[in-house]
Amino acid sequence: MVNRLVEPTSGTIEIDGKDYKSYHPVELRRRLGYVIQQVGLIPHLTIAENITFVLKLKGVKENERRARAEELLKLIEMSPDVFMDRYPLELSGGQQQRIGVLRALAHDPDIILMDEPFGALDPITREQLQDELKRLQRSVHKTIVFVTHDMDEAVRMADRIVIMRNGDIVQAESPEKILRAPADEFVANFIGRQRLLRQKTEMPVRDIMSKVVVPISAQSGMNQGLELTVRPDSTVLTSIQLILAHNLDSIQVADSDGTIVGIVTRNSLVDFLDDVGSADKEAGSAKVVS
Amino acid sequence: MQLISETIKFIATHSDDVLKAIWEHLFIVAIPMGLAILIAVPLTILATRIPRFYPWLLGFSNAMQTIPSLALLALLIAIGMGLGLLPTVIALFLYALMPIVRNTFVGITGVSREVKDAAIGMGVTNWQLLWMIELPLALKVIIAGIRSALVGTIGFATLGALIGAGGLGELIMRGLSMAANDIVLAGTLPAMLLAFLAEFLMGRLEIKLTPRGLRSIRH
Repeated sequence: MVNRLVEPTSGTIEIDGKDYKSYHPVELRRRLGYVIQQVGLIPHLTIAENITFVLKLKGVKENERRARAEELLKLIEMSPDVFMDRYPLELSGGQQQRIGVLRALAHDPDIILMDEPFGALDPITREQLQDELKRLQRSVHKTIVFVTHDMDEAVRMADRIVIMRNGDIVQAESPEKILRAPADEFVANFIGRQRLLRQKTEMPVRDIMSKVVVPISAQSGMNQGLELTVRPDSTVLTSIQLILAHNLDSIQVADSDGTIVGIVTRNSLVDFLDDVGSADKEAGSAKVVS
Repeated sequence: MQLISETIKFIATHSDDVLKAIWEHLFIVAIPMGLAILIAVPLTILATRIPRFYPWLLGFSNAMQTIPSLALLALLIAIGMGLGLLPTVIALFLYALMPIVRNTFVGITGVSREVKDAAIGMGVTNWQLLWMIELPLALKVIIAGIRSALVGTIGFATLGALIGAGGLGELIMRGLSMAANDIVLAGTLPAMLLAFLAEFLMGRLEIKLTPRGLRSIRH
């Protein structure tokens, strides 16, 4: 919708503070980068020509375009000598989508649209491309609007996740916030019970302990054995493991200098983990802004 | 064997007549083929943009193809086209439409959706979509259509002699009326050779015009 392939039924989109309809669709599209699930490389053009297709539309000279293609291929460690003059059908699916991503970068757009870009790839290739894209993003710093149905992918890639349901925005926040506080049952279901549990067990103990009002020094004789305290920044999981391993009712939280600052009880852990949403079913779609 | 040597003898002694007939024949073929390409290809491209138009275009060219060739000639004379080159050229033109229309349409609409989506998403104009994406990818199929139209037209053009258009058909008619099989063959063999040659050359052209990126998988 952002590139006006689909017109909105209501509402508007602003790019740099301007209504996107004030741009001509063709102009608008050339200002954006676009990656689709089916890749859609142009089969009769070489890899170099594919990467720089938008530059060609903009009338950039051939030698400049080749230089740009070479530069981009080097960025993802694909040898320009090997790939520049090959054709898309000679490449594997993963390689093709790498080119698809480079193609969206070639004209240096501020915003790149990615519509389930890695959805058609096998899990291993998908993870590789996700990592590569993250690495790439660190050097190019683009606004990437990334559509996915895969919550793992969303959490892994995004700075901000916008969860949408039937065209409405349900929640738009950082992955951490969404995982800690899903806006409603729908979001919780979408995230999935397991992921919520995992997220909760990875939180620092500090966030869930009952604070001790008067900090007690470790030397005061009230503590029994240092190995049975946890640090405030230890994970909840560590405290659970200790409690279960030693069959305790509670465990103390001690600072680096040994001061007891809080306590975590077995009951409070059970309560804390119990309010995770009940259903496991995943549905809907997530939009990721990174 | 005797017939063949007589035919060769006839061609050798009447080489001027045979060459003239071949040139006439090529002329009779070239005009309607040229017209058919110039008219059918753009019209069909238009039909890919206006879907309602295509059934009419294909229906018409199909109907023309369905009419028996001799009947089509007779029909054109009956509606007042007269005799000679004009009705022949028109009949051949109508006959050549169908393969070109069909292949052009299939070629253009056969360009995969995702390639077009990606191109449109990158900001091609309608013309650029046609010139940079659709036509190059459809060219092989369009040429194949022209090829079958051409081969058919070379054969069909011999019938033009029936209404005085000249060409190799005239040698065949003359031979038939004189019951001279060598003259019939002197017209038939060059016509066959022309058709084979056209088939071969168009085949080469088809390969040459197939974009390199597509050749590796299709051959």
